[in-house]
Amino acid sequence: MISGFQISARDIYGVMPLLILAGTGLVVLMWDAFEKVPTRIPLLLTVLGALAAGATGIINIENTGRVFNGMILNNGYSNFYSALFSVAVVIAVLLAERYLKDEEVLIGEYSALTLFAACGMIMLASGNDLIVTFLGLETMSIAFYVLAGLFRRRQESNEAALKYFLLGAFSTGFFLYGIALLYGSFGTTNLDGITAALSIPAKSASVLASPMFWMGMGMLIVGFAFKVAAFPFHQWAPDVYEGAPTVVTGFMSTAGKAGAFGALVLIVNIAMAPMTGNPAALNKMQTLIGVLALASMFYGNITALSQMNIKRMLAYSSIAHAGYMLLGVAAMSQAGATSVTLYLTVYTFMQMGAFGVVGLLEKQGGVGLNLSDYAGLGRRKPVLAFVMSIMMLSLTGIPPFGGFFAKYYLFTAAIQSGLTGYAILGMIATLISVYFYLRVMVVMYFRDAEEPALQVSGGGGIALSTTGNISAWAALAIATIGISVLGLLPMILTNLAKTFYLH
Amino acid sequence: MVPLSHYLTVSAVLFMIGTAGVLFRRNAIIIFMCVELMLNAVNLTLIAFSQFLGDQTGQILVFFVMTVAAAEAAVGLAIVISLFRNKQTVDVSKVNILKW
Repeated sequence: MISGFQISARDIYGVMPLLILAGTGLVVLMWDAFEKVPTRIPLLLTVLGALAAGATGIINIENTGRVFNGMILNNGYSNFYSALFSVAVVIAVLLAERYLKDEEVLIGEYSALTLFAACGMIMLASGNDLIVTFLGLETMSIAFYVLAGLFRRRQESNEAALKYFLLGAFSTGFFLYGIALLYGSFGTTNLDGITAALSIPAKSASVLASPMFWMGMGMLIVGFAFKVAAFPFHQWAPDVYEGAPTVVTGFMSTAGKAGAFGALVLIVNIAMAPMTGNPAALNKMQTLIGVLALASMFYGNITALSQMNIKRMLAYSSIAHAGYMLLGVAAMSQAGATSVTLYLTVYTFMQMGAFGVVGLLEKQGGVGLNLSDYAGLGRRKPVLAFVMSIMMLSLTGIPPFGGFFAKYYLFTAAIQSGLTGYAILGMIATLISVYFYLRVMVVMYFRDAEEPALQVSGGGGIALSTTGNISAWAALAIATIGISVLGLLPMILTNLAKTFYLH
Repeated sequence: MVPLSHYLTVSAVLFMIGTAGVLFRRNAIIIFMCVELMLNAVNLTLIAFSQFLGDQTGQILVFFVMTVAAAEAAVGLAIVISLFRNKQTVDVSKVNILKW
C-alpha cells in the first residue's frame, strides 16, 4: 500500500482548504502572542482565512478523486464540507467578538482554536481512511476541550472542560478499538478497500458473519455516538453545553456534530453501501443505528420539555437533532447521505443563530440564561426576538424555513429504505418538540418582563458595550439568510449533493 | 508461535481494566491514566493484527495513537491544573456545580 510515497502538487492542492485554515490558525496564534494592545486584526485575519478556505472548497467542488495515496477524498463531498466548516468558523468568530470582550478573553486564542477545530472537521469529512478519520476526530476534540475551558477563572467552564475531556478521551478508546477490530476483519483501514472487500460476495459473507466485525462496528458507532451526543451516550452534553462559553457551545454543537456525521456518513452510507446485497446484515445494521436514533429523538425532546435554562434546553434539543440525523445514516443509502448533508447545513445555520441570540442576550458571568429572562423581548429587542423566532420555527421544522425541508428529505430517505416505522416515530418526536420551541416565542411575545430593572442593573449586556455588535449582526444575518435560502430553494443543495458520490 | 487469539485476549482484558478504572475511580488523574491504558490495549490489538495480516497500516496507526495520546495528555493535565487552582481538588465527585 505504502510504497514509493511521494507528495505531488496535486496532493497539496487537494487539501488546500485545510492548509489555509491551519496556516491562518498559526498566524493568528503568533499575532496574538506578540500583540501589545488588543486589536481587531486577529478577527479580520480569521474571517479572511476562513473565507479563502471556503472559496477554495467551492471552486474545487467538481473535483473527483483521492489524494495522498487514497487516504484523503478530494471530491464534491469533502469540498462542500470544507466550505460549510469555513462558514461556521466565520459565524462563530463574528458572534464571539462582543461576548469575549465582555468576559475579557482575547479573541485571538479563541479564533486560533476554532480554526484548528475546523481543520479536524475537514479531516473527518474528507477522510478516506480510518486513520485520517481518527486523527481528524482527535484534532477537533482536543481543540474543543480547550475551548470549553476558555474561561479559566470560571468554575463552570473548568468543570465543563474536565467532563468533556474525560468522557471524550474515554470515547476515543472505544472508537479506536472499533477501528482496530474493523482493521482485523477487513485487513485494511482504507474505505475504498472496505467497499471492495464488501463487494466480493465470498469475502463479504465471511466478514459480515464474524462477531469481530459487529463488535468493531458497534464500538465505532459508540465512539461516534459520544461525539454527536446521541442517547445513551449523551450524559456529558447538557453539562458541557451549559458550562462552556455560549459562543463555543454554538460552534461545538453544530460544526462539531457536522464533522462527526460527515465521517459517519462516509463510513456507513458510502463505504458500506455494498452491504445492501446482504439483507440480514443490512437489517441488523439499520436496527442498530435506528434504535439509537429513536432513543435520542425521544429522550432529547422529552427532557427538553422541562428545561428552564435556555442553553440546557438547546443542549437537549441538540441530542434530538443528532437522533434525526442518525435516522438518515440508518437509511444506509445515498439518499440518506444527501439528506444528512442538507440537514447538517441547515442545522449549522439555525442552531448557531439560536446560540448567537442567546450569547447576545447573556450578561457578564452567565446571567440572563433563564427562559423568564426572555419575557417581553418582543417589545424590548424586536429584531433579536424576530431572529430568535425564525431559528425556533426552523428548529421545529415549520415551513418555509430550512428546517422543514431538511426533515422532509430525512424522513423520505428513511421511508425509501424501508424504515417506515422509524420515520413515523420520528415525526411523533418532532411533534413533541413543537411545545418547547414555540414556548420560547410565546414567552418573548406574550409575556411581560417580571423585573424591568434587570435591563439596567445587569453589567455588560448589549445595552452597555456596543463594540462588536456589527460583527454579531453580520453573523446573525448570515445564519438567517442561510436557512431562508435553503428553506425556499433546497434543490440547490440536494441537486449538488447528488454529484458528490460519483467518484 | 503464540496464536493471534492470545494477543487479542490480553488486549481485551487490558481494555476492560481500563474501562473499569474510568468508571469506578474518582481521581481525575487516575481516570486519565486508565484512559491511557485503554489506548495502549488497542495499540496491542493493532500490532497483533498488523503482524498476523502482514500489513504495515496497523503499526503506522499505532504511531499516530501515541502522538495523539501525548497531545491529549498535555491538554488534559492543563485542564486538571486550571480546575485545581480554582477548586483545590481533582476529585470528580466534587466537581458538580452543573448537574451530571
